[in-house]
Amino acid sequence: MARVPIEEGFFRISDDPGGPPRLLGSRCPTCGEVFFPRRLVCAQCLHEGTDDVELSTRGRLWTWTYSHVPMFGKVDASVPGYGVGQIDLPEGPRVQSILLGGPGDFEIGMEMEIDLEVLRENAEGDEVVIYRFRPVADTAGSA
Amino acid sequence: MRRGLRFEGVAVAGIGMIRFGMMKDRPAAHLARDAGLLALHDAGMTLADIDEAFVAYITPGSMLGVKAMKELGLTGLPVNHTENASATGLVAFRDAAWAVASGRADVAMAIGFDKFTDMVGGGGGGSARDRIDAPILPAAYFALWAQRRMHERGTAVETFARIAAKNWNCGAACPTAHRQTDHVVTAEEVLASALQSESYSRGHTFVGPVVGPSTMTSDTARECYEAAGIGPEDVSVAYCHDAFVNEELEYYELLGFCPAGDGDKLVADGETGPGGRIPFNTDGGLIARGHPGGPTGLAQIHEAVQQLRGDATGRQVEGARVALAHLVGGGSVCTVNLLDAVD
Repeated sequence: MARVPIEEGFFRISDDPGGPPRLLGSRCPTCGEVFFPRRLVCAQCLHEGTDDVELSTRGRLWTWTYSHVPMFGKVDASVPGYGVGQIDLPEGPRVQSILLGGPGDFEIGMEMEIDLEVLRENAEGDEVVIYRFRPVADTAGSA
Repeated sequence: MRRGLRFEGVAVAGIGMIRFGMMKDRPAAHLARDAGLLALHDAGMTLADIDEAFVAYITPGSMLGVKAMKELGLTGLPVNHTENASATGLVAFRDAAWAVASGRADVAMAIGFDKFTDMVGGGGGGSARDRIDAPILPAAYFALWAQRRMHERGTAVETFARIAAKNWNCGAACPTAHRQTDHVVTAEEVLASALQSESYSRGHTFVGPVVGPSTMTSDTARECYEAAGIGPEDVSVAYCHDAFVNEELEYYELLGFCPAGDGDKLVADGETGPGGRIPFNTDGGLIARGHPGGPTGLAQIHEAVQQLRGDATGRQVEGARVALAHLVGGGSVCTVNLLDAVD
């Protein structure tokens, strides 16, 4: 069974089944600012043409919440709810993502790690996946 | 770049609004017609007096604005369409005032309508299901902002509940508000309810229905105050984008009514409620009135004009001279408007 991204162009699925996905970003060759997702024109210095980069698999939790009545949860999975957060990556981008864990598992400032969540099976029998972040054990700390 | 505009000699000649509600059995164009006729009657005009129209709606549908304007008559006037998410109606108001200030129109009309019951998909359903941002609902983004506020400022959940209760109770005093509570809502009741549960800067998120940087509001407010030549201390009554209660708390500070971090104290002292130093959302705001993107900003103007005229029966801010109307939209738009009373 193959794994396919929910939408192309945002993350790369590892060939190694246990490997983390990589977020696809852009780096401005002029000012060095890094963006997610990919973009042609630098939002900071307006340089046209950016370099493709793959972003770090870990970052820090800037803020989070928990959706107790999620539309996506009701439609696509038998889950009671799910976490939503913003993760600051070391390269600069702040990424919004669903989170793995319950409402008691998150703390602002903790280190988070990216992996994949299976949303559903499509008509071709492939698993439709999206990136998510989960807490790295024992890293809760300062924001 | 200077974006603040001061429109000398431009006045609101007439206002009209129908009560917000579900309206399942009424065509959107008829909602616009009925509100438009009220405004024309209030101004003592007919469509023949209107030189240009600005129509505000966010329900999908090309040229719905022209269709709605035709319900008011066919006079050959130019019709402009505005869409700016939550800020749609207030930007249409700004554009109508600008058309008059520019001299190209003697009288312009801003008109907003929306029927969310006609919307398809949205919020992650329908064809949007295969998009990268489908799993996260817009409400979650405001919750993220609230969580960060509680972390940085120590804001208590009770503060948010007090703002919600204030706006519920204000709505009950305003006949055009959708939500008409039959009792005084308390913060305790809110907490016990079932649903308890742009210039580029670092930290801007590009995927999903974003909240946008909070500096959008402080920057826009500063430019608006500068253009008007007044400050927040001159404002008698204010309207803001209280789509979620934590926003109203933030906007007390971002609009300059208190220093950053002091909004919680304003709430505790009742300064933004009826009889307070700077009453916010005297008509119940988005929370009690309802929030269809097209009409929302014009509903703010409707209430602001009533306050400045001294016609806001049962909720009048005594001696109101200057009103402020603020909206953000889609995480990328902010508009702040100051209106002063005509002697």
